[in-house]
Amino acid sequence: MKEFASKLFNKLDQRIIRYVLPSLISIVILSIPLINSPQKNLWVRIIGYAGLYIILGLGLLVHVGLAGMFDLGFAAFYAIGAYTYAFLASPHFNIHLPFLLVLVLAGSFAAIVGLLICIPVLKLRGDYLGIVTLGFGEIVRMLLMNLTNITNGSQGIFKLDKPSILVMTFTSGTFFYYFIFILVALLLFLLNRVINSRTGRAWLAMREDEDVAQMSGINTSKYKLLAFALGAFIGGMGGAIFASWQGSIFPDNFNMNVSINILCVIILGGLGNQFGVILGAMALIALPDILRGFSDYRMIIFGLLLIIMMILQPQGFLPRKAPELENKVLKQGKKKKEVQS
Amino acid sequence: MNIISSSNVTKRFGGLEAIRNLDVEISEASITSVIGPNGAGKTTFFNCITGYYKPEFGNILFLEKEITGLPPHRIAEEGISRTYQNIRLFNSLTVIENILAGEHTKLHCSFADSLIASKRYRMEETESIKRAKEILSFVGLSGCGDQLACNLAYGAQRRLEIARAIANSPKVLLLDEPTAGMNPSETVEMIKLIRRLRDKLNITIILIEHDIKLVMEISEKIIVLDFGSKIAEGKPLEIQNDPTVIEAYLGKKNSLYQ
Amino acid sequence: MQKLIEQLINGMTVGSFYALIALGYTMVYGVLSMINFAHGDIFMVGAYFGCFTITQLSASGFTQAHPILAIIFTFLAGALGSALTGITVERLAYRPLRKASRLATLISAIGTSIFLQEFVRLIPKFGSSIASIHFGEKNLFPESWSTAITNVTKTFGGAMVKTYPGVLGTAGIKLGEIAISYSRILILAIAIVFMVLLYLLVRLTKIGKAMRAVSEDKDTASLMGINVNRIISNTFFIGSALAGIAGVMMGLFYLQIRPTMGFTPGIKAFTAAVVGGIGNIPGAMLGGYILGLAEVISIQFLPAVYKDIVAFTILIVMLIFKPTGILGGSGGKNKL
Repeated sequence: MKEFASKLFNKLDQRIIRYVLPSLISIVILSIPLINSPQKNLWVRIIGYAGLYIILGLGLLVHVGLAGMFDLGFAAFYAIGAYTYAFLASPHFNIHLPFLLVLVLAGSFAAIVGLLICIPVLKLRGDYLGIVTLGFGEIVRMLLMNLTNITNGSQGIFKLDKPSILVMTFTSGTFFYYFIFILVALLLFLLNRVINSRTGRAWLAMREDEDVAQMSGINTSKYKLLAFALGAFIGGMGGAIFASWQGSIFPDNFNMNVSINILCVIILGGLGNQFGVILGAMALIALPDILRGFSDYRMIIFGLLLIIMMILQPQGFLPRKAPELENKVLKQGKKKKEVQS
Repeated sequence: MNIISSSNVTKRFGGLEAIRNLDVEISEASITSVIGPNGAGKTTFFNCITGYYKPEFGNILFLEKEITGLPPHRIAEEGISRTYQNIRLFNSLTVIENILAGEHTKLHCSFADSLIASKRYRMEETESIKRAKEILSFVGLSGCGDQLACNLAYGAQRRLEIARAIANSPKVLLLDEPTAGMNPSETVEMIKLIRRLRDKLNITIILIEHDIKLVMEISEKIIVLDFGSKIAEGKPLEIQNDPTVIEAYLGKKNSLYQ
Repeated sequence: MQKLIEQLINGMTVGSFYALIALGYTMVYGVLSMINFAHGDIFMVGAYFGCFTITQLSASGFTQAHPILAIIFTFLAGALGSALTGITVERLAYRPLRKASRLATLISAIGTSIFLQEFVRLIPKFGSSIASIHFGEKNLFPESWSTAITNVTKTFGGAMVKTYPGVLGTAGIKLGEIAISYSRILILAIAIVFMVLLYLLVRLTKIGKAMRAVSEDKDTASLMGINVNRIISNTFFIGSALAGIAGVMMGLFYLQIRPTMGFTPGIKAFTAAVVGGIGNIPGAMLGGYILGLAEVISIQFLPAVYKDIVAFTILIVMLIFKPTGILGGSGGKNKL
C-alpha cells in the first residue's frame, strides 16, 4: 500500500501537486459563497466549519507533528479561546472589545495556559503524555461546567458580539467563511516557513530522536514549550472565531469527542504534513455533513479509521515532502544530478 | 592545557558501577582511542562527557571549565559533539537537513525571525545551506544532499553522522565505533576522514573502537578500560605489550584456554 | 465516627471497582508496555453482557427461582463477553502494531474505544438492518429470525440507558449502628477473591511465570520457547474478564448502564494502576483502594461535582512526580 502510494505520487509530475492542485482547490474554496443556489448557506456553513477545523488541526499538528508531544486534550485550548471571546465581547460581563484584539488575546491566553501545562510534563514521553493532556482537557471542561458564576455552566453564554474589522461587520456566514480561509492560508504560509527554518528543523529533529537532538545542541525543553504555546495560540484563535460565528457557547462544545475529531483530522492528513490537514478536515468534517444519512455513523467510522490507518500507514497518506535544498541553488546553470557515493 | 580531563568520575546504575574513579587527560588536537572489552564502560564514559548521564562522583573539565552535570545541549554548545554506536540519524529528514540540524548551535535565527522572514533569517538560511554543502563534500557525500537519511548506504550513513556532528564546528569529536560493520576498504576511507578531521579542522578526536588494527594505526594515545576502570594508558606500542591489557582481552596466562 | 466508617465502607466499595479494572490495565501494560485505552470500554461491554443475561433470566422467572445461580450466570456472561472482546481487540487492533511506535498503538486503542462505544450504541440499528436484508421482495431471514435478531439486538444495546433488575436488594447486616448492605459485602468479597486468585496465578502457575517472563523481555521469552502471542492473548483474556466482572458488579450495584459508562471509570482505574505502580499487580489493587478512599474523602471537602477532577489531578500529579507509583513499576520513562 505504501509503495503504491509513493509510486503514484512520483509519477504525477511534482509540479501538478505543488502548484496546479492547490490552485484548483483554492479557487473552488474561494468561489463557494458566490454560487447562486438555495443551498448556498448550508455549503458555506459546512465548508467554513471544515475550515475552522483546518485551523484547529494546524494547532494540534504543531503539538503532535512538530514537537512530538502527543496531545489528547486539545479541545481545552479551543475552549479557552472561545470563552475568552465570550468574556471580552458579549453582554456577559458587558465588555465589548474589538474583534481582532480579542482574537489575539484569546490566542495569547490559551498560549499562556499551554505553557503552564507544558512545564510540568516536559519529561513525560509518548502515551503517558497523552493521558495527562487528556486529563487536562477534561479538567478544563469540568471547570467550565461547574464554575457557574463565571461561565454560566451548562447554560452557556449567549449573544456574543458579531465581529467587525474596520467598518465591515460580519453579518452573514460568508464573512466568517472568507476570514477563516484567509487565516488558513496565512497560517499555512507562515508554518511552512517556520518548519523550513532553524526552529522547524529543531522540532523535527526532536520528534525524530530527542536524545540525539539534545546532544546535537538543541534545547528540547525550550522548543517543546515554544511548540506547545504556538499550537495553543492557534487553537485559542480558532475558539474565538468559533464563538463569534456561533454566537453562543456551551461547555459541551469542547468535550473529548472534539479533541478526538481534531486528532483524526491530522492523522488522516499525515503527521508531518500541514497541507494534509486540509485533506483531513475536508474528509472528516465536510464529508459526513454532506452525506447526511451517515451522520449517526460518523464516530464509529472515525474509530475504525483510526485503527485501520495505524495498521496500514502510520505516517498518514501524505508524508512530509522533504525540501530539496542541495539542488535549489544549483538550478541556475548545469544541474549536477549524478550522485557520487 | 588538556582539552578534556576527567577526575575520579564514577557512574552507577542501581548497584552496578559502570565506570569507577576514571581519571583521563586528553590533549588538544590529539587522536585518542578508548578500548576495552564489551561492557567496560566506554560508551558510558562518552555519555557522561556529553551530559546524557550525570556521574555520581567526579568532575569532567573542558578547557579547564567544569562541564559535569550540564545539560546535553549546553555541552554541545561548548563544543563537544559525538556519533553513536548504533547509527542514530534523523531518518525522516534529508541528508542536508540532518547537517542543518547539527548546525543548530552555530545559528541564531529565532522563531520570531523565521515568522517574519527577517534579514537574519534569510541570510542564515543561505549561509547554513552553503556551509552544509561544504561539509557534505568534506565527508564525501556531495550530491546526496536531498536524499532521505534513511535511504543512504550504511557507510554513507556513518559519514553523515560525522557530518552532522561537525556541523557546529566542535572542538572535540567523540566517535563511538565509527567503523563498526564496515569492510576493509570503507575502514581505510574512514581512517582518512578521521585524520582529515584532525589535520584540516583541528578537532580533537576521541574514539571508541574494537578494530585493534585501526586503533594501533591511528591513535596517538590509547586508554584501556575494563570493568569500569582504567587499566592501562599509553602509546600504541606500549599498550600492545602491556600484560594487564592482554589479560583483560584474552584472560589469565595460566587459565585453561591459554 | 459512624459517618467515618460508613464513608470508609463506601470508599472500599468504589475502590473494589477501580482495583478490578486497574488489574487489567496493569497486566496489559506489563506484557505489552501499552496503555490499553479501550480497557474501560471492555468493562462497559461486560456490563452489557451481564445486563442482557440477567434481564432474560429475570423475564423467564429463573432469577426468582434460583437467585444465586442467576447472579453467577450473569457474572460468567459479563466476564466471558469482556474476555472475548478483549482478545478480539488484541488480535485485530493491537497485534498488527506490535513493532510500531507506541503512539500508533495508543491511537489504535483510542479508535477501538470509540468503536466499542459506538458499536454497543448502534447495535439495535445494525440488528434491524441485518434482519431486513432482502433480495428484491424476499427477506433473507424468515420472519421469526428477523424478529428475534431485532429484539435481541434491541435488548442488548442502544443509546438509551439500560437498567439492571434490582436483584441484590437493599438488605444487609448491621454492625452496631452501621448498616452494610449485602451488595457491598458481595462486591468487596468478589474483588478480594479474584485478586487473590490472580496473584496466585501469576506467582505460582506456569502461565503466570510465562506472563512474567514476557513482561520482562518479550523477545527472549520467545527464544526460550514461550508462545508469546498466546501468553499475550491469555493476559488480555484474564484482564478483560476481571473488567467484565467489575462491569457486572457496577450494573448490579448502580443499576444503570450506558455505552459511555466506561470512560470515567477507565481513566480512574488507570490512575489507580499508576498510583500503585503500573505493571505491578499488587500495586493495582492498592492503587484502586487508595483512589476509592481518596474520592470518598474528597466529597467531604469539595462539592460532589468535583469528584472526577480529584482523580484526574491525582493522575497528573503522580505521572509528573512519581511515575513509578508507590510499589514501583515501569514509570513511563521507557524510550519509545
